[in-house]
Amino acid sequence: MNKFKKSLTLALVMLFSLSMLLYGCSGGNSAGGDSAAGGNGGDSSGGGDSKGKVEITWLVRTDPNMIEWEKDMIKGFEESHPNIKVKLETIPQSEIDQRLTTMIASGKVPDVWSSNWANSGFATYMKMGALLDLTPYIERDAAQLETINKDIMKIYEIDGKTYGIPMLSIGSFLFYNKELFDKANVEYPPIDWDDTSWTYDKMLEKAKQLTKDIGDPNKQVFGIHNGDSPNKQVWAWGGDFFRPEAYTTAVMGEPTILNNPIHKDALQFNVDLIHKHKVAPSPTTLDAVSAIGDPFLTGRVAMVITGGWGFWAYQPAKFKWGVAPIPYHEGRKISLYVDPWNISAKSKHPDESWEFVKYLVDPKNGGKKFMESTSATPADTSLADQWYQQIAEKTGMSVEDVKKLNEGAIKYGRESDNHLIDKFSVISSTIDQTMKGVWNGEKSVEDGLKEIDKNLRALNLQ
Amino acid sequence: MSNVSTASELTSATAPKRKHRRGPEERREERAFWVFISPWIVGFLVFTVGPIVASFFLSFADYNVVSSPKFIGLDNYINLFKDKLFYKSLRVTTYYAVLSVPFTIICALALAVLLNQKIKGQALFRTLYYTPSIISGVAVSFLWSWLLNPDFGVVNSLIYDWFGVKGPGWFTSPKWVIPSMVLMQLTGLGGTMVIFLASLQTLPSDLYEAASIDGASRLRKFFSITVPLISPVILFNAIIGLIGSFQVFTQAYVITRGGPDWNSYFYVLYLFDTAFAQFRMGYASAQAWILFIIIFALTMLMLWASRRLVHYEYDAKR
Repeated sequence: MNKFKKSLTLALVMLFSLSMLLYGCSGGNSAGGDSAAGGNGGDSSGGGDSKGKVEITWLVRTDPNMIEWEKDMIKGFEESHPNIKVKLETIPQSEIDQRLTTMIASGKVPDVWSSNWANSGFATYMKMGALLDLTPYIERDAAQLETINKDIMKIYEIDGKTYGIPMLSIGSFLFYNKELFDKANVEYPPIDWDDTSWTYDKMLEKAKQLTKDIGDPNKQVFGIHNGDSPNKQVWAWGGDFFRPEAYTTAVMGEPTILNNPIHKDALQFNVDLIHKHKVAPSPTTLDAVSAIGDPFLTGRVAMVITGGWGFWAYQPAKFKWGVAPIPYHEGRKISLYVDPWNISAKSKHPDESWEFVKYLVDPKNGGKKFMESTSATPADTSLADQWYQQIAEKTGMSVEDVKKLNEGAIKYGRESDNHLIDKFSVISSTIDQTMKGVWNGEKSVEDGLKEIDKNLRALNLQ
Repeated sequence: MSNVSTASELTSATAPKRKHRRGPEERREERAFWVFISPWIVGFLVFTVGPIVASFFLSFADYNVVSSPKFIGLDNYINLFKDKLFYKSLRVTTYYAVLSVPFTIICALALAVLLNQKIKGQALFRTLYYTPSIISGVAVSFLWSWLLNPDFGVVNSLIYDWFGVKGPGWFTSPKWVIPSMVLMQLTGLGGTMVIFLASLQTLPSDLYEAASIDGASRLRKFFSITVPLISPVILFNAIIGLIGSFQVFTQAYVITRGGPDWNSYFYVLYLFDTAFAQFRMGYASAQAWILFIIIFALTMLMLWASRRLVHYEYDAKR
């Protein structure tokens, strides 16, 4: 029996370790199935180095607009760098946080990825220590990166160290449905950000003229929908939920929600749009309407305030649309969205990954093709003119107007809060929970703000 | 137990006469048993026991995935009991369980009784009513979010057509969100129903015949014969249902993200957020262990409270 027991234990141990081994391997191989065959044994990185062929993993969010570009990048890069193989991993944005955590914990990190393509954002991963300091590389290859906008480059510089190379830089705008404007005989809004006559009251006036058939789900048109988050609605009026240091140190700290009366005014204005003037949809209505498609694209909303991704997200529209500045208010700040390429701190092949990042942002190759296939506003200044041209063609606006609009957005823009403050997905969902009640008219703005302040302070964010 | 096998034992290995003497055939069989069961055992050790043990140790640590865990004693548990959101999520989950368990039991039992009738197409109906249970929770969630859409949903348009009133906002209303999620259980009844159905089919017909002779109504028969006889099954389903409701996650994650105003912020959703949005694995592990203790205690409480209500037919051998 002893002998039997021994052999049984041995068999179990072997099985156990075998399954561990299989488990470990599959962790590295799964989900990347779509990127070519071969590359066997590349998992054990140590062996890969000595043989000269290195495999790096490139993590991207699922986006049908980008797949062709991604494949093209890998093909081109592998041709010019025969010793490096790139494995593509495509994950839906909402799952990236969860998957990355598992990858990081098991030590099988993706080499190149964009921290802002996960819901948590740059600051969270930077704080966590998941991102590689790229400063030495940037210093070495400064010449190749010099066309990237200097101000934008600084966004991802923390304590003198740069952790990301910006690939795109998108502003925030007001998009409007020209067809609905024409039908209601309403004058189009201006395109000049410095036009101080374009105020919120003006916007409300237009919204009132555009609103019709409210209550009939198949015909109703709301004049306006402000799609910005509460903190950004407050930015646009010159306020801020957080201290300036929060954005530079990545630590939320004490919220300043109750310190400035403008916060209440800004949010009250937007609540009034829904309940007093009835020109904007409540979250309940918006949820309902969104079930049949984007409310702007289905013509249920005539004006919408949102990020500059509208430039390409609204391409499929069956009507003509225009773009305007976000209405003027003293102290107006609007959100910029700058996405960087990052390299994992734990990457086993940082040099090769850097080569790949350079390839991706090269304004004559990767960066240019990226802009062409996604229409995203480039971070590289040498591509700006081509982008104006491209957007002008697609929207029917003049090149001048596109340029004016975009330059204004950058002038009044500041980087998005969720990219700069650690664990912002927790902060924003805490704000949103209460705000839903406020938008739906179940809570006053004042009570809502007090509650948010209390809840944010109770968050245990270290 | 290194015994020497004898010829007699070799031949009669399959029918052991004595307890502690086993032949090589039997030992081989035992070995085969271990080999065949090993995939399950290994899976259980690696994917269940391993994580359980790991989470137990992590619950005493500060661990953000990138840096290695730091031992902090009972801090996670102490903070948890000071955490208002912990109590809120617990209240939401309890409210859901209180509504959902009876609802599921009553609906599943009613369905099982109906499907137990001897009618034409019985097998077809049984299959039909079981089918929704095999659909993934995410798909079911999307289905329901459409059915209960306040403006375009089938349910609200029927309510309007039949009663002339506007239906509630369902998932977007703080008051209705939990009842809506309970209603969603209608597509998840299959498993409970099948267990009821199986137990209904084992009921002896002589009791019913005797009751009929005594002039008992159908309802009387149901409550005086069926319910007492299947009471252990009801208890079983109630406990399984309770455990399930305390672990509810998918609906809230897919449809409401815990809103509106935290009203569907279930315990496990909070746990998930601490782990994968806040990256506080230690705290999340502590939450998981508290959940385990809560479920364990409630199960024990249910077993204890029901001991007089449940009728076990131990002496049914006759």
